[in-house]
Amino acid sequence: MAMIFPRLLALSLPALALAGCASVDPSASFGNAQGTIRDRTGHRVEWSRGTQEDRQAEQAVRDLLSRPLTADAAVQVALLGNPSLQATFEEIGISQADFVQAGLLTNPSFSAIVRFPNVSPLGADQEFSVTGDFLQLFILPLRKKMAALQLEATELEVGNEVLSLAAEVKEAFYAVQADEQLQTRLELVNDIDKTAAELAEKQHEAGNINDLDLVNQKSVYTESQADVTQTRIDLVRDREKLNRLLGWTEELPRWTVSPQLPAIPADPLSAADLEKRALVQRLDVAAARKRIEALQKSLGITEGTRLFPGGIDIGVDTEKNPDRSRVTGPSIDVELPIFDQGQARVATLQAQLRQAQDRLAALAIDVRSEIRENREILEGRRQLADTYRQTLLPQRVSILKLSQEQYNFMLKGSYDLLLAKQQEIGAERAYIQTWRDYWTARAELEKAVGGFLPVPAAAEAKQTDPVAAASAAPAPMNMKP
Amino acid sequence: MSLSRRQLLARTGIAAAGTAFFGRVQSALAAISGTADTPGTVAGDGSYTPVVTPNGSTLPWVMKDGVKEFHLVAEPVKREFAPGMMVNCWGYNGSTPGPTIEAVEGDRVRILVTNKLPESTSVHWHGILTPNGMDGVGGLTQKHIEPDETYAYEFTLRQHGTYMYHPHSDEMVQMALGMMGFFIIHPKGGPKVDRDFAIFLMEWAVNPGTFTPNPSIMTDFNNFTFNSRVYPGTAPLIVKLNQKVRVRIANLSMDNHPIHIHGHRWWVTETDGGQIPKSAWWPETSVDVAPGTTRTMEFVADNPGDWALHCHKTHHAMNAMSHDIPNLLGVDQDAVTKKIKKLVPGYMDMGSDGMGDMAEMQMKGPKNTLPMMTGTGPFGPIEMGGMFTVLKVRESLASYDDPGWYQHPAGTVAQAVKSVS
Ligand SMILES: [Cu+2]
Repeated sequence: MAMIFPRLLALSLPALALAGCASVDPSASFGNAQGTIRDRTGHRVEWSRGTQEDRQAEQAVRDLLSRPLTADAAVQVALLGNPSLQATFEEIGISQADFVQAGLLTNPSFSAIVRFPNVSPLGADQEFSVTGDFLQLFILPLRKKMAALQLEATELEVGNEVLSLAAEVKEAFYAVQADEQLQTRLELVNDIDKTAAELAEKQHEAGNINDLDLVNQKSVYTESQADVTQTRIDLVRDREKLNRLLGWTEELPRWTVSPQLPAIPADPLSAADLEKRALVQRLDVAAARKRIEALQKSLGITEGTRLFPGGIDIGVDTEKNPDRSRVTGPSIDVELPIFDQGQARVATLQAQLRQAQDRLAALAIDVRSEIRENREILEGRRQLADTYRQTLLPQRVSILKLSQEQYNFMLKGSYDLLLAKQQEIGAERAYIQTWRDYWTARAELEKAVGGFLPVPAAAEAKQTDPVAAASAAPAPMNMKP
Repeated sequence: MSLSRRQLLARTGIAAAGTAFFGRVQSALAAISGTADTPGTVAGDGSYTPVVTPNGSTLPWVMKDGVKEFHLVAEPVKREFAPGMMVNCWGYNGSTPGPTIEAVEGDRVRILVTNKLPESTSVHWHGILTPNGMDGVGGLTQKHIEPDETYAYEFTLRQHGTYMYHPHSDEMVQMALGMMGFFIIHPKGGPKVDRDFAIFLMEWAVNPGTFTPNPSIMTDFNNFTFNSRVYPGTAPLIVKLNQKVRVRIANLSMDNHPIHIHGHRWWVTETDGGQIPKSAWWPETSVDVAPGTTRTMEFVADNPGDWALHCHKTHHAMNAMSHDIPNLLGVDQDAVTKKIKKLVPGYMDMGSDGMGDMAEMQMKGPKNTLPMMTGTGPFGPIEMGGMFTVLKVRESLASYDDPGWYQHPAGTVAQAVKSVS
């Protein structure tokens, strides 16, 4: 006994040591995710766990909200304040705990039996045994490796969630920004229709138009009022959507958005290496790869131990008989693999592995397609916005100017002028919508590529003010970023 | 006019507006037509007073074997309707109307017609009694004159009066573009007048901002011309006090035009059917000239001054206007104008108190378009356009050049009086 116990102990020690070094603090893991996100987006995420950093993060959110928001600022606010994101971060905590669990040996079992004979000698029969799963000493490092892979996968998946959120925030933000710009235009259209209705009213008073013409003109005004109301509703809806993403509450400063959508870069986004870049940097792709690796490890373990599904319990048993003699010896407890040879568990894992591989292949196809699609859409909208800005808007401005020349010679009436003005505003409205759609597509593309696409500063500077100079409009589009 | 053709082209943007349709090279006679003062008449044989075609000319002739030979060249023409408006027309010898043909009853005439148009043409001698084969109806009495072909018409003049020449080949298009001219036959040794004017009426659809008349328009014309000019591009009729004046009016447009004279009454002496017996002459101040007819009036210019002479259909004494602008007469626009000005800077309200203000406003209009009401006289804006000119009757004249505005004897001009309440 004196000999065996230390030996048993010595055998277990490395495993104990292995298990002991696993901490349950997920900071390091979160740090990895934090780093990944910084690389991909240039933004900071904080995991709110009642520390000093929490207060700093809250202050940062307040600062960001008190200035007119940009898309980037909105993303930063959401990364610091979105409560669902905080819940997602806990996945790292769970994974970290799983990892620690994987490094812990199953506790050895001790059993004691005391029996009393009914014939002499009448002393107690005492039996003590200590057993432990011998097999896990070999499996443990493999299991830890597998858990580590799963933790890494979780870190990546969390990072991916952050990127998805960022894209969603950007889309919601551009929607609000565009709503506000559209609202200005629609109010102007409404103003035009109101003016036309007033003119009709005066004509009617003077006896120059009939009731039908008057009601026709007034109904146009009513319809444009309805349009304004509809945009106000849209704005409330889009603003609340963004509020949810930002994690905004009434205690925080009421935010405003910067008045202009960002300028559209003049040059098309190069298609080259976007797909390659995506396959390297897409966090969900990387996570899927890690999950496959983990499954491969798991399969390896299961295949290696398939005949011993219950493990190999090795122990030492000592029995003190009533006659005071002592019997001591090792024990082994093994399941006999007669019926269950682990084939089902192996098959399950094999299927799961194939499933994960198929899913990765599907994801890779999706990524490529998403990138092609979004890049084409992005480019299409860039060109369309360009057509609106460089061609249609100046044409509309010119139509107004030429209509005015005809008006001056009494070849056109006031209504024609108001209509030309309204069509100019209509072109601005279409331009704003395409402008917004460009940035929405860009956010989608960033999601597809798995990281932010920086806007070249030079391209942004190239964007000039095309319409304002030529426009006879009192509220011309200001294209300057 | 001291402007060269090139300068004019540059000024009006015609060069850029030229098309193949109108781009054919014009004959040596042709420049931009209408810009020069009315050139001198062609001296006749002394038996008649040569006709003055204001803003036009008379066709010279040569005598060949006892036949007066004239030469008409049908061709594209750039016609200035008034300064600031150039029109892509078709005409003869570089002008619309074509030069006036003058001859005397009994003359044998030969008219060579060369076609420099992009399509075939023919010439009909409206009202003139010719052999059937000289009547000029393409397809009916002769072959059409193809581009670059020259046809000879020859006949003896057996009547006198005011007649016309015009195409009878794709005539809707060719007349809508300005192909027309006077053919005046003087009586042999009849009584002479002192001044003899010929004015051709035409109406055109030249959309504001364009240069080419639209021949498919039937009623909605917007330019109404005396000799293919609109006021203030129309030359005044200059006469000396107590001169015997004849005015011949021809109309190939699609409307009738009541031509009205101020300060005088005139006698209608002829139609394109010929002379009216003197006993049947009737006095008028407005003579309705129907499409496809001529009217000849005579009067003694016994009332000195500057007298309007114009078509009495009010829209015809105006330049391009729209017929579907909102009626704002009597509409109090002040508040609305303020609003529209905010939306459309530079906007001004018009039409509340009538449209006369327009003649005063110097606003920018569409290119190649004349203001609807224009012209300035010694007392202010004249507020006219289109078929409008001025008959200037003076006691003394050094020449028939424009003598300027009439100097009214003291106390003969209407003036404001203290309001009588
Ligand atoms: Cu008329």
